[in-house]
Amino acid sequence: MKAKILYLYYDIMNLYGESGNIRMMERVLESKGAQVETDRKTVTDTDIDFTQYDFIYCGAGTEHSRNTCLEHLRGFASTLKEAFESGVVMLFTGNSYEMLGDTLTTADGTEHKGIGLFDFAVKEQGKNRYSGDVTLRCNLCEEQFIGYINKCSEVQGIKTPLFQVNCVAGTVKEQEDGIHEKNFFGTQVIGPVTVKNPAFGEYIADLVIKNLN
Amino acid sequence: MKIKVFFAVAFCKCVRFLAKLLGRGSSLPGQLTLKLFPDILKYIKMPSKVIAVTGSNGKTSTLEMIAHVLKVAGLRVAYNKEGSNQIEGVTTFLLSDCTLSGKIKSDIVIMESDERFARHTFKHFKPNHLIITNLYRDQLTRNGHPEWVYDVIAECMDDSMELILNADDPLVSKFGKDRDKVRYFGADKLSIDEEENTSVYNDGKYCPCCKAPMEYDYYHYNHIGSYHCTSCGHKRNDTVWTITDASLKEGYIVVNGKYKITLSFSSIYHCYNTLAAFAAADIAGVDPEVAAKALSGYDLRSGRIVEFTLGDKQGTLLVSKHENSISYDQSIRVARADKRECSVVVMVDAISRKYQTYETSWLWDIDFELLKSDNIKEVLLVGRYASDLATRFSFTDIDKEIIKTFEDIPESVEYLRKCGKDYIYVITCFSDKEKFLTLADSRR
Repeated sequence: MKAKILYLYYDIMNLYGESGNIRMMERVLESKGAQVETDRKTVTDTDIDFTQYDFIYCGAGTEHSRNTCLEHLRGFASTLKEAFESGVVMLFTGNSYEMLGDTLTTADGTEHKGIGLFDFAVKEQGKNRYSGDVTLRCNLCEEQFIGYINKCSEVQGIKTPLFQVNCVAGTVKEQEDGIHEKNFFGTQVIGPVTVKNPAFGEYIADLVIKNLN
Repeated sequence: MKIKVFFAVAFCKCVRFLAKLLGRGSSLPGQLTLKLFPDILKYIKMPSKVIAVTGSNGKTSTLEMIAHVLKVAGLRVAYNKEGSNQIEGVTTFLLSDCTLSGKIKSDIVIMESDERFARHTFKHFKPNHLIITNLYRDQLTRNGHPEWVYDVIAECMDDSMELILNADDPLVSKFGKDRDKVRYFGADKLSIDEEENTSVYNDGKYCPCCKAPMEYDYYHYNHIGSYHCTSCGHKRNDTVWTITDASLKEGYIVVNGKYKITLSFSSIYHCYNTLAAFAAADIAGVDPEVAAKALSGYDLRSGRIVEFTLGDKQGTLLVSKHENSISYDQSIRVARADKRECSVVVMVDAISRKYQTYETSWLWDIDFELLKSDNIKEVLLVGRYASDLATRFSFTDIDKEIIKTFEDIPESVEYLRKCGKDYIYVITCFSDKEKFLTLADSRR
């Protein structure tokens, strides 16, 4: 049983120790009997076929880096949509999932067209960070989900959030976080979320294994 | 206006006097003064030279060395020696140095400024020269990220200021783009350099101006080195103050080909701080010979390196910064370079002493892999976050047999006292260092 992982924008969307997620998912998938092969792709690559992969991960970056990735990702939008529709498991943390909505308005007022996987709208400002330790709940795992949010955006128009916000120590205002549709999991929580939340990592890995079978 | 200045200065001095009696910090007098006189800094008559230092790492050390050199050169210097680097602390030390008519008595003012607060501190007065040491991933829980901090620092700048920039840091040198008043410091190719960046991440991989890939001729460490953008032309600029030769083994640097400065502590970041201090002394008009001599062998007082004993065992505590992977990487390199058989302690007990957070993502940015080294015979993971560290270490190639986990700090100290190797290195943060050092027998 072979599992192909894609670490998308590994060298530019890796602001908060996100490489930990890849290491953790490799370990968990191997423990479930998969032979894991990880590809790393970035903004200089011209040959990405998202449908080839069993698990796709992307982490957080600076706003400038994220915009650069969005422009690059546009060239591969169709295979990304195809992979999403066919149920490939994807985890996007921090501001990376903001690329996949309808529009993204940056702090200087520029409106970028999103990849269009979802129809949410992102609006950023350049004055304040919304940040803090958070605990979240979802109905996928029994355990609380813990982590840290560090962003400067607000996302409008998500119908299927991934988490309900339980507790915030900081300036995060939202009651809901992230997005969950098909096998896509997006959250504003940054960093190695699957390390801090092993039950969530297990859940994702089980979905990957289920697809492999 | 004169009356307002008189009252503000007198008030600040009185509060400072009382605060000292009560053992309070150096921020409070400035804080109270600013409540009554919010724009008081606008009315202070500064000397002709005001030099400020900001950046992620090395501010306090650099400032301490600048102050030392200037004093040796016979100048009267006002500076925030207690390290209070936000507007309150700056107000305290400036007003403490003032006559009642609001004139600074010293010949020169030097100050470190918190990178996030420079825009507030420098709202009512501008330094003539602003030295920027580096911009790293540092305290991202409150700083966001280095590019965010860049934008925040940029808000304090105007055309009157001369920028003194680290040419080897691509994000810092972006401040000099299309600017007249700028000079650079940096290091030429050195024997310690590497052609590849082997760190966990590389923040120099993409150009901070246009995000096209950058190419490096060499790396001094992490993303600090000689770079150029493959697209927009952003590149390492020529330097006025240059480390032309250095040996960490023998502990010296040579500046501009002729000024040899011996280092009391051999680490690459100390080389940069020393160079920045040399540059500041030059700007202040100190003879370079005098500056080099004053900096030679200078022992930092700010306690970043503390030697201690535990029974018959000796060790060094390397004050690193939690939430700052480069500072950890540097400390790990120091431990790795020691030839003796070493115990290395990594201690994370409170992430910050200033604010509450449980965020540990930064542990994944540290190159702990480097602790796999022949001289390192055991690694102790200590403190409240010992389990987080243990998980992180389980993803390295370090032999599991040599890793020991102690949530309890006194227990780890007892262990070291009995079973520690020839030499002990403790890598931890300001917030945690006293928890270890109070259990040591002596310190220096």
